[in-house]
Amino acid sequence: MRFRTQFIGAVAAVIAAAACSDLTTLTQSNPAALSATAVYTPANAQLFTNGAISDFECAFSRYVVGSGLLMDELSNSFSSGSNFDYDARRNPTNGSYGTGTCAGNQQPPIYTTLSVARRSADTAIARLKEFQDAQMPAGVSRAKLIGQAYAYAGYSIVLLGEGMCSAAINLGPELTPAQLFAEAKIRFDSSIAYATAGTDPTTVNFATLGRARTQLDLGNTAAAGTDAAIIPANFIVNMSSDALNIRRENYAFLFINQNSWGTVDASFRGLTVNGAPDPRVAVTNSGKAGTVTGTVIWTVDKYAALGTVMPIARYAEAQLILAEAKLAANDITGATTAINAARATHAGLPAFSSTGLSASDVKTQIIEERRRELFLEGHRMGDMRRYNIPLAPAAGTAYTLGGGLYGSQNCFPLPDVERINNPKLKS
Amino acid sequence: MSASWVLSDEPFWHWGNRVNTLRLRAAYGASGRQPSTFSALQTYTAVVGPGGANAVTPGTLGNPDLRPERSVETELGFEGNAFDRLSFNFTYYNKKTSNEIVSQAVAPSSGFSGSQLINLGQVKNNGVEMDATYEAIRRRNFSWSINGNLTTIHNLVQANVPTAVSNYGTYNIVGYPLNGWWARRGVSVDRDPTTGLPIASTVKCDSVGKPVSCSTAPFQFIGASTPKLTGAIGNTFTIGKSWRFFALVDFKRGYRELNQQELIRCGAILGVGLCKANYSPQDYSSAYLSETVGSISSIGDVDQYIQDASFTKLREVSATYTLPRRFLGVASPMSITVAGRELHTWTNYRGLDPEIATFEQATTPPLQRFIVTLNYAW
Repeated sequence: MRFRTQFIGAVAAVIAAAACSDLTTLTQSNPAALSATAVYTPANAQLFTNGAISDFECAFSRYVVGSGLLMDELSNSFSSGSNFDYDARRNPTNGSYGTGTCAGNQQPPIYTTLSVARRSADTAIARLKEFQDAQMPAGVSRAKLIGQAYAYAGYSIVLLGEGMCSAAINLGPELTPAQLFAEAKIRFDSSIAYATAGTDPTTVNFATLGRARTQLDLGNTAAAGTDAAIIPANFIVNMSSDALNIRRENYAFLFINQNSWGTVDASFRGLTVNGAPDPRVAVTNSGKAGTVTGTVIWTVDKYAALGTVMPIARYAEAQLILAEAKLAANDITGATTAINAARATHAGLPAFSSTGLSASDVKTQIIEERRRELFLEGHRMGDMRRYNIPLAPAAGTAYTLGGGLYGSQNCFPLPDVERINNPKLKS
Repeated sequence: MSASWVLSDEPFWHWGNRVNTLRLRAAYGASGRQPSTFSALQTYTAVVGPGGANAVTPGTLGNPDLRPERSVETELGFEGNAFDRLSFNFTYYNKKTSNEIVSQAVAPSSGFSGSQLINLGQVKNNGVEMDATYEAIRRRNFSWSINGNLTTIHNLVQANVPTAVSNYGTYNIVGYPLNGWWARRGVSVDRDPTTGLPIASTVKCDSVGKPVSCSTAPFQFIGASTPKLTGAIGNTFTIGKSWRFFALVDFKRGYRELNQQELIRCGAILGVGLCKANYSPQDYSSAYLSETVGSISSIGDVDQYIQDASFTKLREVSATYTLPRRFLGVASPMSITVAGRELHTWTNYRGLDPEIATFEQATTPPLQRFIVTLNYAW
C-alpha cells in the first residue's frame, strides 16, 4: 500500500487551526466612535446628561406623531403599506414602530427610541451616583444633573406606559402599563429629591408634573391633583429644537408640512368654541395633496416650522389634571376654575361655565378640553386608553385609504425585536 | 490534510484493461474566520444635544466575548479512467460551520438599537460533485464525446439566533435549509356571485390543514431558495478535420424564487389593472384568487408567487468549420463558428426567466443570441 500523504498540508492546517483558536482578544480602537469607558468620566458629566435629554427629545417628538397617527389626531396621506398600518391600527409586531431609530423618519419610531432614552438617562444616573461632587467640573452640580436625568427617565417610561401595550426595561421581564407607571413614579420621586437638593426649581416642577401625569395613569387622581396644584402659572418645559439637525427638528412639521406623510384628522378640523375658531386646535388646509388619492394636507398652526419647539409639560396640562382631581372629589366649582385657568392661557378663548351641568357632563368636558388643549402633544393616546374612548372608525370597518380593514390596536404591541432577543422574554 | 491512494498502481490490481486508472482521495480541513474589526466595542456617538450643546448617544452594544467562527470540512472521492474512453471524478463533501458569527438584533430595552455579533450559528452543508467524459465514438473521420457534471447541495441550519417569521421572505430557521422561503398559504376565498371577483373579507389561509383568518395563520416553509441539484450535459461531434458541432444543456432543480412581477401585478400592490385574474376570475382557482385581494401581501399571504424555479436550458448549439491551411495559404488555421445561445428554456416558473427572478422587472433576462465568430491566431 502506498499512501501519498501530504504532510506539508497537514502541518499547515494544524497551525492554522491553532492560530484561529487564539483570535479571541479584540483590542482595536475605533476613531469614529467613543468607547463607554471614555464617555463615562466625571469630566463628561454634563455631556452624558445632555445625551439623555437629547435622546428623550428625539423619542418624544416621534412619539407625538406616531401616537397621533395610531389614534385620532392624524390621518395617513402617504401611500405606503407601513404607514397605512399605523393609521388603520394594525401594526405588525415587526413594524418600524418597534425597530425604528432617530435616524429613520418615514414611519414614526416608538419603542426603540423611548427605550434608548430611558437607558441613557438611567445610565447617566448610575454613573453620576458613582462620582463625587468634588470630581465635577467647575459650575456643574451633580445633584442637579441627577435630578434632570431622573426626570427624563420618568417621562420616557410614562410614554412607554401610555403608548405600549407592554414593555421591558433593561432586558427585564414584560411589564404592564401599571408596572411601567410605577417605575416612572419612582424616578419622578427621585428627581424631585435631587433637583430640590440641587436648587433646580424647573426640574422640580417638571418632575412634579410628570408625577401628576403618572398618578393619573395609575388611577391615583387625588395624588395627581396634589402635584398638579403646585405647578406655577406659565410653567413650561419644551423640547429644544432646531431646523438643521434631524434628531432635533420639529417632527410634526417634518412629517406633515414638509413631507406630506400625514394630515390633521378630520375630527380635529374646524373646531370652534361658541362659534368662534378654537385657537387650541388651529389648523390650516394647505391645499397640497398627499400621495394617497383624495387626501389633502391639513397642517398644525402651532408647529409652523422645523425649528418650532414642542411642549413636553406645561401649566395648562397641570390645570386639567387638577380639574380631574377636583371633579373626582365632587368639587365641580373647583374643576371649572381649573378648566378656565387652562383656557386663560389662550387669548380670546371664552370661559367655560358648568352651571346646570352634572359631574358626568363636566367629566366629558374635561376629556374634550384635554383633546383640544393637548392636541398633538403626546397625550391623546394615553387619554383614549385611560378613558376607554371607543376607537373610530370601529375595528373591522373597511379602511378605504389603503385597503383592508381597521384593526383594534389602541396601543403599540411589544415588538418582535424585544420579545425574541430579550432573554427574559424568550418562550 | 489530505491523502490519496492510487489503487490501479497496486500489485493486486488485475482490472487494468477495464479500469485503467483509479485513485481514492480523502481530505480534512479546518479553518477560522476572524470577527470584523471593532465588533467587541461598546461605542457612543457624538450628537447635538439640548440647546445645541454637545451630547452623546448610544452607538453599538458590541460583544467582548466574540470568538472566531470555525469550519470543518471532510471530502471523500475517487477519480480515474475506464476502457480508455471514460474519465470520471466523484467527490462527497461534508462541511460543518460552527460558532458562526451571526448578527442578532439587540433588544431595545437594553438601550441600544441595531444588532450585535454573536457566535451561535451552525450550518451543515453536504452533497456530491461528479463529472464524467465519455468518448462514445472515436473513429478517424468521426467522433462523439459526451461530457456531464452533476452537483447536489443539501444545507441545513442547525443553530441560529431565534428568528420569528413575521412576513414572507427568506429566513434561516433551525431545521430548515439556509435562506428558505417562508410565507402564509392562501387556500380559499368566496367569489362575488355577480362579478366572480374575490371578496376580501372571506380570504382563508392554511393552519395545519384548517382554513383560518390569514392574520392568524402560521407562516409555512415554502421551499429552498438555492438549487438542490445542478448539472450540465455537453455533446461534441467532430466530422473529418474541419467540422465540429457542440450542444450544451444545463439545469437547476429543487428551488423556488419569488415572482415579484406577478406579485406586484396581482398582489394588489399596483391595484387591479395589470392582473389577468381580475378580468377573468373564472379562469382561476379560489386559492389563487385569495392572494389577489386587498393588501393580502402585507401579511405575507403570497405563497403562490414563490414559484418552482427549476429549469432546463438549451444553453448553446454551435457549429465550427476550420478552414484547411492550404485554403488560405497561411501557417495557422482559421475557423468560423456559428452559435446560438439561450435557445430554449423548459420551466414551470411563470415569470420572465428563473435565472433573473425576484427583481426581473429591473433586470434584462439572458437574451437569445446568434453569434458568428471568426477565429485566427498567429
